[in-house]
Amino acid sequence: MSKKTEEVQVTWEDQQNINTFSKLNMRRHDLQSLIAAAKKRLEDLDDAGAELVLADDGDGDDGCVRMLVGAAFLHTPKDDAEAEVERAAEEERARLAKLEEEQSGIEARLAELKVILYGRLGSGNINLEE
Amino acid sequence: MAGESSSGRARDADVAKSVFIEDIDAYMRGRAVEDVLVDQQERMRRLRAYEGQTLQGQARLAEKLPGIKKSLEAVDALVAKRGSEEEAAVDFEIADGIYAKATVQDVESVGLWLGAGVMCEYPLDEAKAMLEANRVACEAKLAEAAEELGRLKDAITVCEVNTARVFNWDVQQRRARKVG
Repeated sequence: MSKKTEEVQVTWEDQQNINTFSKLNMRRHDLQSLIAAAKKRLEDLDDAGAELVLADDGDGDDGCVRMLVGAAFLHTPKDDAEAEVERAAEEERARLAKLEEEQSGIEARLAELKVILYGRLGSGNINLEE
Repeated sequence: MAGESSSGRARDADVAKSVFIEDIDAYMRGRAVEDVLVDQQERMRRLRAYEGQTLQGQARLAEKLPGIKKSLEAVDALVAKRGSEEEAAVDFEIADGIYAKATVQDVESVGLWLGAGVMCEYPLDEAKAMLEANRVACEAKLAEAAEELGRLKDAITVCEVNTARVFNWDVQQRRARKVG
């Protein structure tokens, strides 16, 4: 962000708006990575779910599938595993929705702040673009 | 979390506000431009150093958290199986890519890795309580670090804006002197 303030006086309120814009912008970037990671995890869970549906029974000698719990694989009946995958997917979907909601909130606030700051300081004096 | 929060705002404002130069004209009376600019740079240097430290601490915490959650997952699974007659088969990784099968039944205690080559055996419930407490503490410290980073960012931004304003005030002064 390059800022040149010439004739205009920068008030404490302007400074606070600049600070907020800066922090929200940073959070926006963080959110992009978090959302990408959540989408990937959801994709993996959906794939796992699909695999389970296709599998007849577990290939273990006890007819179980191996499910990762902590750092070890627990022999789990196929139905339980399917339920667990679905539960985890639900959780991830909810998490993703929350992140995306935060993201659109931030986009809206950033747009607001842009209007305010450009209005106060002039687009020749402050650069709020990426 | 950095951003806007009503209670956080009061504290954020104190630190950043103390650095903010309200009236550039008044501030520059009796001060040399170079001295002021150097002063702002020095402040920024110190703030950025502290920011770096805080980021490192945050990264360490962020690395610890998934480990705690995995342990909790395992303990929860054992708690769920407690008291049931059935045996559970578990595959443990004993070397890279090599697994050994173990049968687990009615587990009453677990060994928790405490770090520094130390593992301690805990009854299941104690283990769960301890891991939960660790998780909560870790998440709280992460939130604190994020807040601290927000405060530091604000102060750094104020210094950057101060620098720009002083620089341009100087440019204006020189122009006025040339004309007058």
